[in-house]
Amino acid sequence: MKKKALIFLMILMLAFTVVGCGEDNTADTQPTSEQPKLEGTTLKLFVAYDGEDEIFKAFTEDTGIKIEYLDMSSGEVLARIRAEQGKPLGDIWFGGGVDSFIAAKNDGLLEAYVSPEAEFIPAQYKDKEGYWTGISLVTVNFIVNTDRCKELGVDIPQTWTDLLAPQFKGEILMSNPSISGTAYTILSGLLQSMGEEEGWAYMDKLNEQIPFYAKRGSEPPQKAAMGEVTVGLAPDTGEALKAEGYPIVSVFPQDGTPWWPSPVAILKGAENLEGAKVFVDWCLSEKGQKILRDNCPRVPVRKGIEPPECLAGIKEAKLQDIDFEVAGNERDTTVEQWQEKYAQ
Amino acid sequence: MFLQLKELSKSYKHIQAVKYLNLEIDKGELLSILGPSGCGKTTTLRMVGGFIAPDHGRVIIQGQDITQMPPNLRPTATVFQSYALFPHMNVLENVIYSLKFKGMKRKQMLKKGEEMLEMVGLKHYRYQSINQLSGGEQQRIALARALVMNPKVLLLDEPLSNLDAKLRIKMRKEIKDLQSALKITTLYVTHDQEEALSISDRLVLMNEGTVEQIGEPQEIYKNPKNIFVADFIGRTNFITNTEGKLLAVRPEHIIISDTEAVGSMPGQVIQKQFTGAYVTYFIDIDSKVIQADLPDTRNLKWEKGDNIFISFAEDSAVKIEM
Amino acid sequence: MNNGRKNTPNKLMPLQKGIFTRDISFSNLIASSVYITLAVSVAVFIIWPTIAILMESVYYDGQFTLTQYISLFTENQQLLLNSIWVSTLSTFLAVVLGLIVALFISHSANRGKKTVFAVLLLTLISPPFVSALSYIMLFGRRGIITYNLLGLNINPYGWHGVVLLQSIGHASIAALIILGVLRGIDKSLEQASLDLGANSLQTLLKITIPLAKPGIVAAALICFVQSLADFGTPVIIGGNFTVLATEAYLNVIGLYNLPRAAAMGTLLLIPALIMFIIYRNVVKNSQYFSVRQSNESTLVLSKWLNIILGVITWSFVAFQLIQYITILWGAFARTWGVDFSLSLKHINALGSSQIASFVRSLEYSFLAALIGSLIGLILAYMIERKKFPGYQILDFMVTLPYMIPGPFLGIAYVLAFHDYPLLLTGTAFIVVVNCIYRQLPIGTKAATTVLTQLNPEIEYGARDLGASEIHAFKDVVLPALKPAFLISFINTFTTTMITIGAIIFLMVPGSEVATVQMFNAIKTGDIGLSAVIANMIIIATLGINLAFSYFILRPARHKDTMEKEMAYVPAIEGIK
Repeated sequence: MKKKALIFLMILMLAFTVVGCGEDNTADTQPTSEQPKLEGTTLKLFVAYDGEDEIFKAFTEDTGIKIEYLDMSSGEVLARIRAEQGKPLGDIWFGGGVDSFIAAKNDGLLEAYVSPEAEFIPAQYKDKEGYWTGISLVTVNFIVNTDRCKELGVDIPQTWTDLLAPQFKGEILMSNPSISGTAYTILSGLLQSMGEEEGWAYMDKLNEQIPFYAKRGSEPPQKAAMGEVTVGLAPDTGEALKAEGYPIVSVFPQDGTPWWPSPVAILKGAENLEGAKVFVDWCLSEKGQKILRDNCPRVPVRKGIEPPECLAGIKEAKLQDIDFEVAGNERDTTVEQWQEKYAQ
Repeated sequence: MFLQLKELSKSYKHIQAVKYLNLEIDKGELLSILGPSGCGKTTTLRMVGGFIAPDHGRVIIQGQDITQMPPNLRPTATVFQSYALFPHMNVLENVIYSLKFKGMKRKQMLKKGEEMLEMVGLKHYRYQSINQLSGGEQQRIALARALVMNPKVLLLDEPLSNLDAKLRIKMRKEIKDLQSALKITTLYVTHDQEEALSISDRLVLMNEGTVEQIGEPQEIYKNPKNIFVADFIGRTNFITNTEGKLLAVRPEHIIISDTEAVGSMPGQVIQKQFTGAYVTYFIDIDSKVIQADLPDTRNLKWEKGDNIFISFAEDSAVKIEM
Repeated sequence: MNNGRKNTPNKLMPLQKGIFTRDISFSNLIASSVYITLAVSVAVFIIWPTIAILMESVYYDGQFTLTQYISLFTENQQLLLNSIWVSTLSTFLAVVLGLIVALFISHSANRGKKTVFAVLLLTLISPPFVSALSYIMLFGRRGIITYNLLGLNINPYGWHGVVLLQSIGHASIAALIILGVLRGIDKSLEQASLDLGANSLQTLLKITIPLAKPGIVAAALICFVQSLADFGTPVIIGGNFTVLATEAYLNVIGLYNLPRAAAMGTLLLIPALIMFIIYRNVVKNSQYFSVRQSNESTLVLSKWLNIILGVITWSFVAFQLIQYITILWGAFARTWGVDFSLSLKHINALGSSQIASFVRSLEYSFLAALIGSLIGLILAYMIERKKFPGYQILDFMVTLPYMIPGPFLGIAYVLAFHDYPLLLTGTAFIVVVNCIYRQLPIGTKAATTVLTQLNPEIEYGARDLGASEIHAFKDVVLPALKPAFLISFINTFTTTMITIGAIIFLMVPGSEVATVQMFNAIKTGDIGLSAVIANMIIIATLGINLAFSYFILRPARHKDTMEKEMAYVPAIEGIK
């Protein structure tokens, strides 16, 4: 009896492994010049985007290419590929702060590819040489917990200056700029629009309001939604959270809304290069843009695709004027300065 | 009487370990409880010490009924079979442990402890770790530890069973000396009948939870009441006499002769064992084996295979009730 | 018989079933090559990474420098102090709590001991972050207890939360270790104490607990090292309060500042090493207790003592159970903190990515368990029995992972294998290898224990009858090692399922496992998803362990159930 049970258990586990291994071992591709059959191949992605599952499901349905991905903030990805020095850890880098992408391009860690669909993307949203292409526009919003506001007896903050009110001490959450593209863009945007001196002065004061720096870009809005803090500085309007019923509203900071194009790029040395190209094409295509927009409410980059309804307010928003190249080139120094000032 | 056990009973599941035991022990007496394993002697001892609660019956010391008392409040002290010395304390600390709970001052405790160690001859070991002591020394420490609190009753649970033969003989004399010097009432449990015979004032033989016989050692040896006692104490030959009565005859009372006589029985030597002080002959009488002990001073010429005759004096045989 | 012919054993020996008739030197060759391969693999996968990380922390830009360490000690003193403060405090609390729970099981007259014991085991096989997650759910700003029930608005983040969770979390392992020692204490010592006039409380304080000191010390050492290496809890609920482990994590994952991370990792290793040495020399060699196996104590505790022990222990158990219930609820609550109605929303939302990760966890655990246990067996045999040249060094190398904190090994692997000639990072292979070699001490130790009790004459008998070395091993030793293999298998499987400390640094797309997904979900604040994953892991590990205990371990022994489950404890010491 005991022996049979043991054998049975072992066989069960063995079966599991075999099946699982089968999944992992879907044929590896060779990056040849001809168009090999891409269906059934796998793409490996680093992702900092919402709604990934649905988006990728749609992609796989369309092209037959399977996707394996790892959620990772863009700062983390940058650090990682820098350290691995171009070793192919993945094929596609999907979403995040454009600053990291620019920095990566400067380090020669990206593969240039000008997609045929890129001609429908305005120039300021893409890299001239095709090292990265924006797939949507990300705006920084305040995600404000209305219940908490009532408890604290404050009005919903509308500007960056509003955030400095004493009632918000310990109530604002922002991520660590070295890890999160959102946070870095906030930092860079403020520095560029206010100027270095005033920018850092403001950050000093804002730092007082922040109890600790979150480790992921998506953490602040979640925490604000849950009421752990009152205001989360978020990379979108938090539509998904609103849909869940959390008591939140999203606010475009009226004295300057940071924004950036969230890019897609092919990593240098990608194993499945052809598949990667197909992916980029798909993201920029009409269909792809619509799917992206529907699953993660952001402004599409492609001309002619309407922004989602919830983002109608963006027309009134005062978008900051940010030079992304500068932001990207100065990333390391700015982050270091930030570390020195505010990190433990 | 000093210590009284009245109708003491204890069962485990379906087995009655002790059945309505009654014992009375005088002050200063050393009473041994002897018997085969499972006879209930250790259970009895533990009931007196308070580690096992009796199902029925009472334990009374000097007129005080202590049956409901927990062990730490009883005026008894136990020497365990394994000695149970505390390994994380040195010798002196072990000995004076009990004095803490009598509210003695430290200085007094140390003094008493050293006195006690002096009595057992181990004062110079007082700061030693107990792990470094030999079996005999540990035994003495355990004894000292129990005696230092002046218990009314001393309980010894097979204290010598972990020692080798020679040491055992030496130690039992020491225990006896100590006990008589202090005149302390003692219950001594053992399965070694030679031990019990040698040191007890009185002896209780137990079997399957009941008392088989109680009395002074010599009395029990000479006049066993039944087969069990006769068989357990010393070696006995059971011989049925001509009238069909069962007789118990000790090997030392068997007489071997080459010639037939009245009342003697014929037999053949099947084995001869030399044990030092005497020789034991195993003789086949009518398909039964009889043992005969002969002191080695005589000329022992009989060897295996010889045909001989055995007999015994009438008054050396004990009639056994069936 | 020979007829004067030259005695060629190969030709004359009749072909018997299962026995080689080859030359002896050949079987030696196989044995030797196996030995060498395994020894080399241990060197490559255990020693080399350790060296790599040590080197990375001191070898900078082509020269030896201690700048990393110096900066840590001068600029980041707060960090070190934080770590020491948290670890010391939580160790103290964990050991005290563990002692009370252990005494409850071994000495009190209360009922439900087996339940308590079962709960202790349950906490050992649980995924990490369960306590951190439930802590937020219960005591967060919007926690169900602090907010919904009590209407409070407190900030749960900070060192006090970390200490609380670590204390309660580590109390389980402390309790199990101390319990093992308590059971080895000669019960007659306690009886003697009573006999000499001490009451039950005095006996506990003067006799029982002092005799349990080796266990208490061992528990303290292990709790301390585990607390130092714990990065999950402080990351999630530490807020602004950082400790060495979290900083090391951040330095790798966020900043990829490997030299700095390496220095931190090494600092984590040093106390672990010290503790381990103390443990080996002081605790293990203690003669304090006799080897006599005894069951429950016969010491009768006073009523109040029983009550106090009971209240504390059951509170502990309740706290643990509440965590699991909370997690279970969280998986089915529509939106935690807002809408507690039940729904399958989160389960339905499980994407292919999550399911793939979970399956991967199972696969890796199975592979690590299988291969690791086998390697452990063979190594144990070679070290214990055969005493191949260099076996002492091998023995030490094999036990090394025991004391290496998870994050240290993870960083070490990244450093060791991200460049030629051993370009292995970014593969699933290296993740599995990490798990195998991290748990190697478990398998080896289990097998060694069996081997030391196995009479070597049995093998000599087999050889005498004509078996080659390999066959002696296969026919005689392996069957005896089966229980060791099984114990090692189940332990390795469990620990791999719930491990995160090392492998989080090795994740790439395609090799993600369930614990990492759970971690990400918690960080993002997706309560529902993290709860679902947590439950999946718990059910899987619990299920496999139960099935294992029931079908395989139970018929083998008819003694006290707790004794066989104690086999888990030494194996899980320190490895998470």
